[in-house]
Amino acid sequence: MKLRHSQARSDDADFQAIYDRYSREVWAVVYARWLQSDAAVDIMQETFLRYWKHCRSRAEPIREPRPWLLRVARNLAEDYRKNAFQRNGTWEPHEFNGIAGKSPQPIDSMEQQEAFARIREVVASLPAADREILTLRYAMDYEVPQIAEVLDLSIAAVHMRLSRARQKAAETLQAEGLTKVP
Amino acid sequence: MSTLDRTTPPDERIDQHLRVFFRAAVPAVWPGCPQSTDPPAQPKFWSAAVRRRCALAASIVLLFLAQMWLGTTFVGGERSSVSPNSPTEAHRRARPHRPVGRINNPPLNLDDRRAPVYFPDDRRP
Repeated sequence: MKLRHSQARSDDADFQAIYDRYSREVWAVVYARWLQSDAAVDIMQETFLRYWKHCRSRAEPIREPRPWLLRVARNLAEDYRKNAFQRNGTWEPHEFNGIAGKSPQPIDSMEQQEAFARIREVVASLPAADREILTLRYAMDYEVPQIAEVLDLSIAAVHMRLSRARQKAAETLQAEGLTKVP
Repeated sequence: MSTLDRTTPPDERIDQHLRVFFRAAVPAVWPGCPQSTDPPAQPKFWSAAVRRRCALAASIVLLFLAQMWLGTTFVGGERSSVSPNSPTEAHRRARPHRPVGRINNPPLNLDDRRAPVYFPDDRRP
């Protein structure tokens, strides 16, 4: 009985460690798909819930959690748009940004929203793989070797995609005259 | 809010734009590790299952023994408690049991009305 209790505690500790280690990467991958932070949090938690259930079941143990988590998260992110609420349409999340009242001044909020909307358009026009790289680079502050490890890519490939994404973003933002950082 | 200098290299400016954009999306409070709300699973011991099966087997054996004991003490069976030399037993042996009932009184066949009526003395009307 003690053995089982200690086993359960060990499982909880392992799960906590895996969550602490990979949850931000999972969030980044999901966020890169739809550029919606709250939805990415929900999907990230759903991914870890499935991981927990898988570990509790008698299924084959997961030897490499990171690829498993990222694969499930990508699948869940793809399914996200298929549910009825999303399909029938609602306002985009940035439409709700002003409602929360967290912005200091309306004029600043408006400028920030405009700038974010332009950047969002640029980022959304990039391929999904490039968006994942950008999210890990700028939201998580990952270096190129770390990004290559997470996404199972070569360092050269990450460098190339990152450079291409930044180039495209630079061209678009400069063409629109966006020089202020929001 | 900060304004970049016009002399800032474009690469750094783009980096700043992207960094601010993506940092704004990161949740301010990172959600904690989801905790399981399921009650801890009760460990199942094989001894409990064995104990239940032993109890079932013992109850069946007791029931069987009780039935055997009741069979030996039944009034119509062997009278083990009665001495063979007792007067009651001697009387029973002297007058052996003669079966009565169905042999001397055959059942009436009510379904067959035309069946012959039994007359003990063979006297027909």
